[in-house]
Amino acid sequence: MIEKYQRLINELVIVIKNSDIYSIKKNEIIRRTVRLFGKGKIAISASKGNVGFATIIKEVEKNIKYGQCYNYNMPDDSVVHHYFNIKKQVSSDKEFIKFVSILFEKIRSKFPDYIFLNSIKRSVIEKNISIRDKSDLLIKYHIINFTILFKHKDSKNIFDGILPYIKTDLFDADIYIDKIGEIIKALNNPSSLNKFDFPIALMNINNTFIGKKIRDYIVGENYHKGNSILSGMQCKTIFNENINMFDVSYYPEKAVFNIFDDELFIRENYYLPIIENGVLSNLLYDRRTANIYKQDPTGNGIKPEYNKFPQTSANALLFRVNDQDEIPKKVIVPFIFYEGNIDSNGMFSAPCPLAFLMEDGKFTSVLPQLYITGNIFDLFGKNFIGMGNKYFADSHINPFMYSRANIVKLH
Amino acid sequence: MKKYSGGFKVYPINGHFVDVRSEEEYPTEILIEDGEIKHALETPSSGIFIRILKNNRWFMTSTVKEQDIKAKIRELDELSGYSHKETLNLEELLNPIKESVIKYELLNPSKINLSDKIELLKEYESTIKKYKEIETYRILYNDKYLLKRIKNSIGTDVEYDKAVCGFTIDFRMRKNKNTFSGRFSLGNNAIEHLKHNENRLIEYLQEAKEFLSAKPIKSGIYRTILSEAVAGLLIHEALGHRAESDFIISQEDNTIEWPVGKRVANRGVNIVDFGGMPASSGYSPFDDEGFLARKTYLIKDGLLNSKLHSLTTASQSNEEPTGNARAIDAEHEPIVRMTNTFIESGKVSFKDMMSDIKEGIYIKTVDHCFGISTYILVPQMAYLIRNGKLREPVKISSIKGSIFKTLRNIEDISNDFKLIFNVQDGCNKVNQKDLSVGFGGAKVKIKKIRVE
Repeated sequence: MIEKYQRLINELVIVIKNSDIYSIKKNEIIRRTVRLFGKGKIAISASKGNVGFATIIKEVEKNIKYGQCYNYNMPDDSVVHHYFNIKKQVSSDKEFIKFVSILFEKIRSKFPDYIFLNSIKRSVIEKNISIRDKSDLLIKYHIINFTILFKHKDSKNIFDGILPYIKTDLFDADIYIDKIGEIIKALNNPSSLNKFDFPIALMNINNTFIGKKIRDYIVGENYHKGNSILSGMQCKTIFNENINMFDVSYYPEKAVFNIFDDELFIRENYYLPIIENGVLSNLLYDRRTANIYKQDPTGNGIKPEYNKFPQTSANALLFRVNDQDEIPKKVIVPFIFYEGNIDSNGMFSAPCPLAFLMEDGKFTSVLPQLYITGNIFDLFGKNFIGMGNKYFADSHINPFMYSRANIVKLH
Repeated sequence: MKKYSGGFKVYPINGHFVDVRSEEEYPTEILIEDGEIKHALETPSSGIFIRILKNNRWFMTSTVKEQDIKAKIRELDELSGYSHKETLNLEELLNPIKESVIKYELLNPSKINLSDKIELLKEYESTIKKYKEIETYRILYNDKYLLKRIKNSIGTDVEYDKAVCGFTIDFRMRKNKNTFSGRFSLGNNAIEHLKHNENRLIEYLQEAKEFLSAKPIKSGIYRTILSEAVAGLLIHEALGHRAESDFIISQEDNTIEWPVGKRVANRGVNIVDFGGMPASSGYSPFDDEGFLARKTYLIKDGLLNSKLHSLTTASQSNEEPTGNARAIDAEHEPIVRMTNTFIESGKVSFKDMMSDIKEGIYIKTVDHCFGISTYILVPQMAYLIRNGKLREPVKISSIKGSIFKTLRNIEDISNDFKLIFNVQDGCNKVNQKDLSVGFGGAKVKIKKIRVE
């Protein structure tokens, strides 16, 4: 049995340096992978560039004896063909370049003391997996990553601010510029605070180092092997009863497109509840680990890289919005977190080189570099205040989450 | 085996500078986890990266076929079209060179059977299995043969090859409730040199067992000696990235962030980046713009010296290129990257470095380090130094500081030299991950460092 996987990306990458276009790259990226299932083993072979499947199949047949063992089910022989075309209207290369040129002309004139940089990428992505030439899944979608970094021209930092944007369509340039203006206004107003006894507001918890750790903790294999701080807590209350968290596989408005995973599994419900009213209800499984732990696969068999076997991985973690909660008026927003540690008891610590004070939903001043510590069970437990309904960036999957932690100056 | 003939011609288009880089790579990866081969992969690939410089902007694309190069250059020329004042003059900086440095064909690891490589790993695995304290392990092997050619429209035509191979054994030991996670690595240019090093593994595992009973250290300020690997990684992360000119983006006054000539360390402190060392993971005799590797002092005799440059950043700063424009593969553009970054040796032996330390710390291996300028370093193996002697192993959660303060506090540099040959842990920058780099040099003694 042969499974063929292909990922085709057509991308236009515009690098911005010194607030202007530095380079423009047009690329077609092709990745192909073949998994061969035979005699209780699976082998894998892959290619970068336009190498035909026939060549890759020859390679994988040679290496089947070094494959990994398998005894779980792949999709049966029933014929399944699904084609999901979610591609939006794509502007031409020249139109896109023109949009970027004009936007940065405006940005340069509006913020002459600031320097803008980063790569802006417009990609059309096509993923196709077929097995036995009978089951065949294809998804085609369009993503714009317009995340921009900026810094004051005299700043000694690598960057002072960031405005994330990853969506399927372009934005209104004036709203984008206003948002940059809000951050820059706060950057120009350094806070004189020495004590930081305010709640924290975590932007899009999914992307923070805490969110990344939670993604690992809810992987079934980590849980069962005792490698998760949540091990042994399934069906128990782990967090505040107001917390509901889902693994979301498909949410096109927020650029999440895993309708099917890399093992041809289509979820019936794109929103898989993981934490319900504070109780750890479900864990994540790919086909292999589902078989080992006698569970059903959850559609989380995702390749970490094109030439690797799928392994269990979370899609996007969505915390349910509850706009009934009362939101604190003055909070600290950790804007950039370095990777921090969380120990086996849930104690975490992380340096935060950029943080803002947010008052009534607006950034008002920039804070000194901070060091944030706490316990993850308290952060989502007794210290948890609530989820708001305000998103820092339109493309974020989660709104601000309010809680309390210990905050001190880094130096 | 060679996919590209290298016979393609590169001419200017409408007077604009063009460069073309072809790459062929033949990598292998083998993963063994807890006794089971998880995968054994050979994924050869090839590609050609093309750039034209027009109106101060780079227009870039890639292809897999040599015969498509001309058409792709024309396409790029048509894609541009927004006028901009031309100020970059790369011809002034580039002396066209024609040179071939092909020296690793005989060591090409892709010519060795997969079964022989697995056999090699099994020998080390049998040592691992003898340790009942090891509850889980993972052996990751990688090798690669790389062939590159860079041509440009002013006459540069260089090619070189490179061979690297190595493996890492990650493991977790347990004794009752105490655990220790360790990592043993070997890397070289030739597979032959990876063989018969089981004694080194045994030595490492014996040492690792001692850490199962290590006690946490009391937080505070300590005199600290960093091993070659630890000091090298710290320099790479906290200083080297800062020296990359495309990170330093201020167009008004570059001296703000890298004031050349400013004293930042004591005399005798020399920190270098150099890609021309053949037996190293950061070997790159030419960079990806065809510029010859050269020894660049980031810090010379304690004074801040040169930054690292590509052609573009050198031209913008009116400085010399340094041969640091590198790309991870033929789909990516060269950006400013390090090669081998190290601290040059001093005059003192390790023993003498410890001799006047009443209570201090020796950090031998590191789990990870992050942060530019302000850094956090998480040690793996660390020892207490008491009354001038190396004593018991200790647990340290992290050390943190500012790189410029740490540099100012360097008291001594050891007289030994060790460059870490990294096969797995490449350097990540922007969207270009896992670039082969080397780091290390000598041990350094630091007057005071915050330990937690």
